Parts: sequence; C-alpha cells; structure tokens
Amino acid sequence: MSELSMRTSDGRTAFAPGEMIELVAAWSFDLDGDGRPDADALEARLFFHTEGKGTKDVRTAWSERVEAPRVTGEHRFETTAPAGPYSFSGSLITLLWSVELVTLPGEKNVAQLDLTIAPGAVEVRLTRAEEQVGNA
Amino acid sequence: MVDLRRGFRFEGSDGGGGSGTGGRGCGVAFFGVFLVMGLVFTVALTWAVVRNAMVYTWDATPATIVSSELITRFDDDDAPFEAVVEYEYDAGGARHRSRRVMLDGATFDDVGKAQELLARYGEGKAARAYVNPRSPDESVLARPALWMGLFIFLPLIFVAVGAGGMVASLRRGKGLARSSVSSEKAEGAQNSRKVMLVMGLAFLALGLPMSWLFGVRPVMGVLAAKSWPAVTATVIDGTVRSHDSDDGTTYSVDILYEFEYQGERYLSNRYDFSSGSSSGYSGKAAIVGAHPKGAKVTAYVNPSRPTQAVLSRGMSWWLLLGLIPLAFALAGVALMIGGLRQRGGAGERRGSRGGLFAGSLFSRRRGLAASARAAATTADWLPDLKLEDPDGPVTLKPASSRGAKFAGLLVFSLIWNGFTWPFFIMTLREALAGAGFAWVPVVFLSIFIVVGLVLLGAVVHQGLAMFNPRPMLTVSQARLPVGSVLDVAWDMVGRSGRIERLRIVLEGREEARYRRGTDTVIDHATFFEDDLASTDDPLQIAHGSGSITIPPDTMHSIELTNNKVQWRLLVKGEIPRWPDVDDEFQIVVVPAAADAGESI
Repeated sequence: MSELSMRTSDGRTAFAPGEMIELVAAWSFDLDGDGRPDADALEARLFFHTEGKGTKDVRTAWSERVEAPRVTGEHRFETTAPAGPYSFSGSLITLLWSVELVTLPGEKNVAQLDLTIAPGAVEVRLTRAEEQVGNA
Repeated sequence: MVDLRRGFRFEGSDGGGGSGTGGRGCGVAFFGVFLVMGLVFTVALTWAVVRNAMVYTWDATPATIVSSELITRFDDDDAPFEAVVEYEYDAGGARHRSRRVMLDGATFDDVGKAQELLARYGEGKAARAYVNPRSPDESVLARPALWMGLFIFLPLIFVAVGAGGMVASLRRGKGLARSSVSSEKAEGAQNSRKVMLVMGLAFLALGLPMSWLFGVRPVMGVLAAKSWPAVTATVIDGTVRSHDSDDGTTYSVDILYEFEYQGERYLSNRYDFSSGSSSGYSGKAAIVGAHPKGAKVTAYVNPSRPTQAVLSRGMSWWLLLGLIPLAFALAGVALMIGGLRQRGGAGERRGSRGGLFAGSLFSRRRGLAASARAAATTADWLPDLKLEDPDGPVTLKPASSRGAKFAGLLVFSLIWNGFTWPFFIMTLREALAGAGFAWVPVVFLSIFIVVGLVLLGAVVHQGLAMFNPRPMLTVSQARLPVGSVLDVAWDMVGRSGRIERLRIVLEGREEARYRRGTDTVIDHATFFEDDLASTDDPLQIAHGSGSITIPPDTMHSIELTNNKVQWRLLVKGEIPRWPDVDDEFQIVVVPAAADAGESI
C-alpha cells in the first residue's frame, strides 16, 4: 500500500497570518502490474474547513502539484499563511486549517496535517456573551 | 522530472453530512423511483397529447345525427352514463355511419355532462364530423381539448428530481470514497439547493391544481349554489359506488334524480360539490338510504346551466380535504424560498456612501490598516456589503426593510386567512344549525383560525412599527479590521420624542445552518455584545455619536454557505404602548493587517 506523509520542516503547526509555511511531503508508492507507480501526480493543498453544528464548509486556499513523481521521494513546498480566516473555536463553529497531500488521479491516498493560522499563532476562542458576563 | 504548478486560489466547497454506501444506495433507489415514474408518466401524457392533437389535422365534414340517446350502465361504477349518438357523413366518395362521439368514448360519471352532449347532438340535427383523411371510417363529433398538454411539465419535474437526486447521490458516494477533506465539493450544497427548488416546484405544481380541484372549486360551487333556485326532484335510483385504487376501495354517493326547470326535463346524479371518492362507506350509505327511489326531494339548479344540480349545497367536512393539497402547495413555496435563500450571498445588506458626517468626523480613521482592507476585497469568505466604498464613511441601510416585512406578513396572512375563514364560517353555520357531528370540523378548523389571528396580530404589530422613528446610522467605515475603533453617528428620523430609551448595541454572533430531518435549521450564538449607546436623554436619542473598539482578540466576519460570523449594530428604542424600534445594520470586520495580504 502506498504511503504518504506531510509535515512542516520545523515541526510547527501554528502560524500567524503572513508567516511562511514550509512543508515536507514524502511518499512511497506501490507499483502496478507494469512496474509503474500507482499515481500520476501528487498535490499539496492548504484549505480550511468548518466543524461544529453547521453543515461543513470547505475552501481551498492554495495548491501545488508534483507531476510524475518517482516511486519514492520527498518534496518541499512553500506557502504563506493566509491573512484569514483565522482558526477559531466558538459555541457553534470551529474553523480549522489543514494541509493535505493527495495522489492523482482518484485521490486514493491522502495525508493530512492540521494547522492553526491566527494572530499570535493562537486559535481565537469565542465564548457566549452570557458566559462572559457570568465570568466577569 | 518534477513539474511544479503554483497558484493561490480559494475553491469553495461545502460538504454535506456524511452517509455511507447504504445511504447512497437508498438515495439512488429513492430517486430512481422518481425518475422511472416520471418517465412513464411523461411518455404516457405525451402520447395522449399527440394523439389528441392529431385530430385537429382531420377534415371537417358535414354530418347528420341519426339517433341520440342516454344509456345508463348501473354496473359501471366509474362512468355509468353514456351519450350514444349515431351520425352519418360523406367522406372518400362514400357514405359512412359512426357512433364515435369522442376519441375516448362519451361515458361519464356525471349524467349532466352526458346530457349536455346529447343536447348538442340531438336527433336530426346537423353537425360537423372530423374525419381521418387516411381512414375515412374513423371520425369523431367532438375534438378533444388540448389543455392536458399544459401538464406535461408535471411528470418532467419528477424526472428532474429523480435524475438530479440520483446524480447527487452517486457523486456524494464517490466523494466519500476518498478521504480528502478539501475534495468534498460544493455540489452537496448546490445540489441540495437545486433539489429544494425543484421539489418545491413539484409540490407547488401538484398542490395548486389539487387545491383548486378539491378545495377552491367545491367551495366556490357551495357559495354559488346559495343563490340557485330550488326545485322538486324525484329520485330515480340511488347507490353507493365503489372505486378500486392502489390505496384500497373508496366510495361515492350516486343518487340519480330528475326534475323540471323552465319547462325542460333534466337528470342529475350530483349529491353535492365533492369531487372524486373517499373511504368510509357507512356515511355514504346513510345518505343514499335517506333518498329512496320515488322520493320527492329538493334539488338546487344552476340557472345558467341546468344540467348542473345538487341535492346538498351545504358545507361538509370533506371539503377540509382541500386543505391537504393546499398544505402541499404552501410546503412547495416554503421549499422554494428555502432553496433561494441558500445562495449564501450578502445581497440583503446594502448601504450608501455619505450621510451625516461623511468626510468629516470619520475621515481621520481612513487609511488605518488599509492593507488588510485592500486584501479583504479579494476574499470570497467575507460578506459583500455591495458598497462603492465600504472603507469610507457610510450611511448604513437596515438589514431588512420594515415595508418588506409588513408586506410579507400581510400577504401570508391574507392567503392563510382567506383560505381558512370561509371553511370555518360555513362549518360553524352548519354546526349551529344542529348538524350533529359538524362540531368536529369546527374544532379542527379553530386551530387554523387561531394561527390566522396570530398572523393578523403580527401584521398589525408590524404595521404600527412602520410609523416608528427610523434610525439613520453613519459609520466611519462599514468594513474595518479587528482591534480598530468604530465611530457611529445616529440620527433618529421621525418623532424621536416617543422613544423613552435608546440602546445601540454592537453584537458579534455565530450562525450555523444545518439539516435536521427534512428541515433546515439555523442556530445563533452571540459571542460579543457591548453597548455603544444607552440613553434616555431625548436630545441624545434624536442625534448622537459614539465609538466602540472591536476587540483585537476576537473573530472577524466570515460568510460561508452554512457557517457565518456576523457583526451587527442593533438599534433598540423603547416606545410605551407601541411596538418598539428594533432595527439591525450589518458591518464587516476583517482580519487585521497582514504582510501577505494577497494571500487572503
């Protein structure tokens, strides 16, 4: 079975908007009957998605493709942490940033790494207004 | 060889909730039934319409009516009355004789319709036959109506729902086979919107004609019959007819009676204005039993069309059935509105540049965090205020207009009450007249009446609120970064002296939309609320200004298809013994300045 992995070069997973994010993708493909890797390309994506009570929303902010990858390999990607939306966690909605590495075509194999992108590299936390009053 | 393709973009995706392959299979099967049924009905209807239309290409030929008589087949429960008309015509160099009046026969469940045909094609009368030029033996006297063609779109809606639903189910299944979160395409939400629109249209298209057939038309008949003249009729025969259908056997009252009106003899078998048949035998048997053969009864005759007569012109509980298709139609409207509102745009919030202090009080704040605002203009996850310059002083417009609210409530209230009150009044009259179980529908309809009264109350409340003073809010900018100061100036247009206390509140809230069963539910949670102004000073209520800081550690606005973070200014004015001022205005809070603005 093919193996994919994705990590940041320095191990950090929290970034402030505008910071450079350096990603390291590594892979090891199975060979098909003709001795070729079972993927034509690899694609790295930076996207955000929501979790929580509402139906999930997903938007991709950046992507980069590696065509005709070798059977095993490693590749570095660079992108910039978008200015928004911030990673946040509220009563109803949690917004998460992630990077993922997928094989093409078919996206049969996926590796994902969750990130935090917010001012100070700290997720924004929202509490209900009445809780704020209660805690004051 | 490594080929890199770079690019920054935002691709919208709105994933639906998950379901396994079982759910996909169920979806495909469910929508497959829609598709097959729709196709079958489309083909059948199209074939019937084309066949009817072909008659209009036939040759019109003079014909002579040889004989004309009414035949009653008491063993036929669905169409016991036949207008048998024999006529002769010349075609293809030969004399032809035919008994084919209409393309599909001249049998009816309503003897009045058979009588009308016989009156039109009486013995010895000259008529016009329509002859198939390719087969002169084939002819009819009456060409079929083509209005049925208008209904071809009905089964097509089912075809569209079925095909669209199957495609969506299959695609959803494929999406879930991958585990890539970013590939959960927007089709879920888009398809959901389309399905809601098409389903709404289907419900409406079915509900309206059914409401007309089972609700409006019978009620109109009942109302019109109040002025029909009464005549004495003699019962010829009476029976409870049974009709087999997929839902089991249903029954209808069939009492055949004759009467004279203005010197002419007529037959009718209509007991009342009900259409079709229903379950429940005993009640109908009791009615037939109360009208034995030879009995003299009172019939009410339509003076402009004496073939139409009824024995009962009162309101009866079955007319409540007309509310069921009406509920379908209303559900269709609700679905369509829901589908249209799923756009996720921010079209309802608009404002105009200028206002009280344009270019003066707030101008000093222009340019703060300009890079963040400039970058924000490219972010499709931010609300679009549709302003020429949202970064300058702007007079905001309320999120919803009072007039639109009033008009919407008024229309809905009129439709609701317009349908429910006639039923209620008629059933109430019957109940007061002592018609036994007639209080049951009165009690049932009371629920609808109470809802209608609440709606009327809401209309009055909103109508009064339209005369309230109108807040005009001018802000330093309608789009500002977190951590910045929002300057607001207000001017209460109208009789602001009526307001005892004014509060202007800045509110930040989350909004999450999700499906629960077949309903779309929207939940809100407020995470920020702070008074910008709170005063009972009449001068301050009339005009004033204030500032408030958007906290630096809070969340900016976002507007996705199902999830939103909204920032609003709420204006609440207390007016004694009158609906309060309650208006809201949207602003957009954007992320703070970032070095990589273009990456938004």
